[in-house]
Amino acid sequence: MADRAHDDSPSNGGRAVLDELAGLEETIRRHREGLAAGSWHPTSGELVEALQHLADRVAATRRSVEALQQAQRDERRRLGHDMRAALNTIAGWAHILRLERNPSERVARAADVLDRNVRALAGVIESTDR
Amino acid sequence: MQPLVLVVDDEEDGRTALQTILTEWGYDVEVAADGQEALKKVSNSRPALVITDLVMPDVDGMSLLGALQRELPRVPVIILTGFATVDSAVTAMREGAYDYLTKPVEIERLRVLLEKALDKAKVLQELTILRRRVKDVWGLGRLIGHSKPMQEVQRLIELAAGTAAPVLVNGETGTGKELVARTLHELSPRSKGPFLAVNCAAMPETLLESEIFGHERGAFTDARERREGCFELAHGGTLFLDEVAEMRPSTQVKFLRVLQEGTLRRLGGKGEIKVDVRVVAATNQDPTAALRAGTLREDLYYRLNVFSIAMPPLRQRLDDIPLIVAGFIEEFNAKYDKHVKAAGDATLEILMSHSWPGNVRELRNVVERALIMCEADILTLASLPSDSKAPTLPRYEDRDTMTVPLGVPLREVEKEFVLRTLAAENNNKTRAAERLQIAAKTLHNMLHRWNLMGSKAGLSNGGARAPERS
Repeated sequence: MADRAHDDSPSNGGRAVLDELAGLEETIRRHREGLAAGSWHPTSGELVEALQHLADRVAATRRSVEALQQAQRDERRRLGHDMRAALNTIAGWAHILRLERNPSERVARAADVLDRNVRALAGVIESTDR
Repeated sequence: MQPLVLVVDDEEDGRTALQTILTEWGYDVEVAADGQEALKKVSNSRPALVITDLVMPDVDGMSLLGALQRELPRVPVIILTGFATVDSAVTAMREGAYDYLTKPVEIERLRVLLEKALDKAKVLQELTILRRRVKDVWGLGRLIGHSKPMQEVQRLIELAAGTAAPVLVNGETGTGKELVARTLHELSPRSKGPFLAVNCAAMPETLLESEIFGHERGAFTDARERREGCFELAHGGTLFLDEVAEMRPSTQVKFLRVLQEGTLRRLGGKGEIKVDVRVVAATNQDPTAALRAGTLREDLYYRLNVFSIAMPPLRQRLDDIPLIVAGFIEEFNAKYDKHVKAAGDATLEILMSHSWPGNVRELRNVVERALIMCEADILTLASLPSDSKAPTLPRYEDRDTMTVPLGVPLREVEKEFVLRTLAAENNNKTRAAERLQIAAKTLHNMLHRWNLMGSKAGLSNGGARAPERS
């Protein structure tokens, strides 16, 4: 299985997006309070510039969210792949347990349980694949 | 002996589990941890089937599949993967995988799949053997003949068929150059792909370029729509270009570029289009003479001449005529709902004494006309067209005697006489020249003129034929 790249993992990406949103909220709050308190008297040109700046930051945040979503999809795909590979190995060895000529009741039951749970987990992975 | 199955997976536990199960099912099993190791193993042992994971370090499952398709095209490959997406399945199937299973694999499904794949592979193998047997009887595919020149042609075709190298076929009109191209295609790993034939002499140059390379909309006055050329249509298959020396030099340059780079540009197009096409080119001219005359570019000639196959004229393989005629009778019986069983001995004798300037195509026409006229179950002299009854070739009584009927062109008498002398001297040119009382240089020039220099097949044919007639 491949090593995970930690720097751009979805969890780190998620924190970065939250930081970006918090920065945006802070800027909007400062503008609102400045306007309400009468301490900020922007000309119409300054107001347009401030709004454009905010719009650019919103667009950048949207791109970050989209990249994050893609990273999450890739991560889910990779996890799905690794889990399917592991389940395949478990299912294979469970089948081998059944190949014994006279398996004890305990071994037969173990094979059944492994099989059933492999199928259950495969179903879960399949539902997240969609 | 049990079928050998090669299991390729980088996950050791999964690989061992599959190995244990397959062994229990009665298969011989070999394992490899990645594609690289798998390729090494298949070069030593020939597996009946390969089961491979898709994601592996270095050579992954898809690259392994591609390599196996080239090396062992009849070996079925089953892909196992942890990815459940349709795109990778579609790619694998398009690349030639037998089937595709998602992990965790249902063991019983794998068992059924394995049995079906091996059954299919066995049927394909039997078919190949059957085809080979048919080939032994009739020649190579539809290229009928057992004579030495044809054996040489068949040997070259078998050598070339497995490669993707360009092939240059030369031979007189009617010798079956297109049949060579079709046979090469049918015996090649591309046989499932398309086969396209273009006669370069049959259309004006501008039309030819558009036919071969395609054009974009508006590329020229009549180009109302984009059109794919033969190279694009033949992608994954074989393109036969007949009369290639008739191409204008500027078209030859473009053609050479496709051969070298595997890309082309449609007329009026800007983008490069990648194509994977095996080219078989043909000319009825002597290629070296075409080079000297400047009708065939030297660089294109050397590019095409990786494999060169010279189709012998029918007069150099008269012993093949009975087999060829039998094949035509079978073909035309079906076409005209006739029940002719064979050609009579006298008829075959006459046919074998003709010089056949139009080669097999001319013979085909004669047999077709005769069969239409024939009302008995044996093709007789009476049904032959009158012009094919006149003997035009010298006839031989034994190894040291040659009898020539009146009316045979002198140049043919000279050629046959020289070839017979050469054959009698086991192709030793010095001794043959001495016996003919001519200079060795003169004999050399004659053979060169008849395009027989270096062609052992052509020379030995004269020798091989004589004793059979004695």
